[in-house]
Amino acid sequence: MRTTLTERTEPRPSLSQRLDRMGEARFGLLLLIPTALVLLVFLALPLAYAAAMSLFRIELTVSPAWRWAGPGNYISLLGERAVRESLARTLAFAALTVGSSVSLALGAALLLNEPFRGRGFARVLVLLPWAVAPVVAGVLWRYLFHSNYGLVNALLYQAGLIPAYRVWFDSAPVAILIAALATAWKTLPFLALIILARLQSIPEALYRAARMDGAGAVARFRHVTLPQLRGILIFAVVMQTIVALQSFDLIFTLTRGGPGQGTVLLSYLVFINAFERLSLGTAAAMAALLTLLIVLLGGLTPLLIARRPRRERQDG
Amino acid sequence: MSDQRSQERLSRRSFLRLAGAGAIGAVALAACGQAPPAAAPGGAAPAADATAGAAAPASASQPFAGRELTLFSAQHHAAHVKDVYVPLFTERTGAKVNWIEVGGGDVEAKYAVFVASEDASADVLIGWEAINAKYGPTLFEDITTSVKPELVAGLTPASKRAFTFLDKQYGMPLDTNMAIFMWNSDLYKAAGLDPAVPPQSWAEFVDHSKKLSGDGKYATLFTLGDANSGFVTFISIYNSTGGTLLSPDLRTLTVDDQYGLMAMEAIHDIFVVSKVADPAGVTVASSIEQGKIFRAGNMGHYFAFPNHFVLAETPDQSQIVGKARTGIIPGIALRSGSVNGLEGYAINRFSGNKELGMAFLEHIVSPEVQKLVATGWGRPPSVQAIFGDADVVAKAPQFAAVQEQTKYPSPRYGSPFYTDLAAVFVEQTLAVIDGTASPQEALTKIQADGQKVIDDYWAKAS
Repeated sequence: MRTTLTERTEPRPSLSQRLDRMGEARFGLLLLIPTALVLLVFLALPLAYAAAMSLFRIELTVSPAWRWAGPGNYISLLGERAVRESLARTLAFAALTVGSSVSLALGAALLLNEPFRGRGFARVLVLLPWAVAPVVAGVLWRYLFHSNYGLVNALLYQAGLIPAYRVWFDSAPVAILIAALATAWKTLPFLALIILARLQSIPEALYRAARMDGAGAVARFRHVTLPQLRGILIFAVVMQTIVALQSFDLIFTLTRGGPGQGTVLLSYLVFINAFERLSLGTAAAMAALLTLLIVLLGGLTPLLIARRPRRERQDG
Repeated sequence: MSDQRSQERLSRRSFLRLAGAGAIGAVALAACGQAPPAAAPGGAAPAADATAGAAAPASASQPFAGRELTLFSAQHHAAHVKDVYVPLFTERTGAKVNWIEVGGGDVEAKYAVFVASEDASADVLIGWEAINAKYGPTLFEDITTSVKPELVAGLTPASKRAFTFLDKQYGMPLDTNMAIFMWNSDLYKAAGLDPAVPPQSWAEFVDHSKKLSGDGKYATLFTLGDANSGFVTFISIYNSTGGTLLSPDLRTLTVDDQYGLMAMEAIHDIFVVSKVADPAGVTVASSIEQGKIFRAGNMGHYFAFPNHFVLAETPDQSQIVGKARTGIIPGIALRSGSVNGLEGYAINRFSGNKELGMAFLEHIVSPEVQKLVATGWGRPPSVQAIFGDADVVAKAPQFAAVQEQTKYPSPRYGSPFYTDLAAVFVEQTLAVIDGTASPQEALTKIQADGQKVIDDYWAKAS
């Protein structure tokens, strides 16, 4: 009887009341559930599915059946010439992309950090490539270097630098270089923007002190600006490496992997295995290796940033 | 403190309200969307409706009234198959047709997904020789015993062969498209050549080409932009040597012999020695691009598909109207040789709508459609008898060359390992062109690597 009375006087709390009484940590976890569900359905499950696929031989030109292969797909990949060549090509492409994009972005950021007439407009202009879709960028650059109608040919020919219009994509190294430049052009705005943001946060007092010590422009850049940018530059390098290792859409529209297999990067090789050779198990194994490579390189970021120069450590 | 708690409560309740309102809004938006069309018996997915409604009950004149067929095709078929042949099919059968299209280069990727997921959302699928050999065993329905024998008997030999893989028929051909020779009579005249007479042999072709080249212009262009286009280029030259590249059981590659050497040396000659083939060809993967260069008046002659002649005669597509001529491809050891590029349709083996699918396959080889293929599209018909039709003879003069061309070899060597084998060929052909391998070295490498591709496939298949 007493129990009944208690129940009457203290009714079961409503959902919103229970939410109100919930601790911060639990409420935070509750808010994370929708995102976690989306990630589970669209990321974790496909990843797990792909990982499982990589352990089976799935040859769609033979049969849709999955046949157990264990680590067989991974072992055969390591011995495949196409994979080794593609890996070397991918690393070269990444080095070219990172080198060109980070140095160009640094130059652009330094320029945009200086006061000059029309700086606001220039900042907007630099951002434009970021707004271009990778597929569009690929088509754009393909036409820039077109052997018959390309702007590059026209300019070089008019300037007397080439005797006749030339085919740019008939050589694998040149095609890789153009693809790297196109990728750098596409990602330059983002990098320039984050470097510019860091540049603007460097205390002016450091430059004043350097000037008082008699440092010229080059010395100030070397001893003040560059050390201050170290963290963001490492971040930019790793971000750009990841972008380069993932490159597919731009290459697909720019060269279609040609000439021959000359611009077939690892990500493109995954596509070829999955959608042209129809070897889904091999493609999944290759994708897993690529993911591992990206994660390893991505994981280097905090390590590199945490590792401060010896002199800095001694001083501080 | 009290205010803070009140704000906190308000915030959480607001969140709930917002989430609830969002969910209701999403449901309302979804409800506003168009209801999907009723699934076809085969479980067809919603797709663009290519025909007017056909909800009438079945009758003798329209045996499939009230039924739906979903066609998966390529963009370059839309103007003819979707806009002309499909409405005719609906008129005849009463069936409603849903049309799905992708770019021609994306068909394979989509088929990989079809096989992997045993997808029945499309009943009839576009195909060609290479696709047919690759997907015949796993995606296309074997119609060897279900198709009417009289329809198969009426097909041109090349078109029948293209849809047959290891003695099984996997579809019906829409045309007998194969490369012929096309030249610009004005450029021939300007080069001092007889504008009415094409080269009769490969040696003459090279000789003519030298006269047509110069001032930064090249006489011809062969496509090598990707594995498929590079392989097609090699085959179109190789097929006139008299050689046979693959054994009938598709287990043995025979390229490192006199025939292979003739073909590879011919390629070496036109690109490296005589320099009459446009080096830009290594970046061109599509015969459509090749045709555009010819129609701009920038190329003397090339190996063209017959419908390119129709385009060359169309004023808004061509700057050389009235100047294109057609003949047969000049051969190396044989008088000629070509490569087929014919297309057709097959039934999705996962479809539950196969009866209607077969009706569509029969429709595309009907005399009415075949005449439209020949006169409207400019493609050689797949039915032999249509070549003799008076209308066709009058409207498609290029078919005289096609008929002559069909007397010579034109296999595409489609196989389940087509892509890998083609990649080996194009890699070595490019090595010959850029001087890193001699024709003989390239052939030795192709023989070894190509045979490995074949052996690997059969090992997997067993």
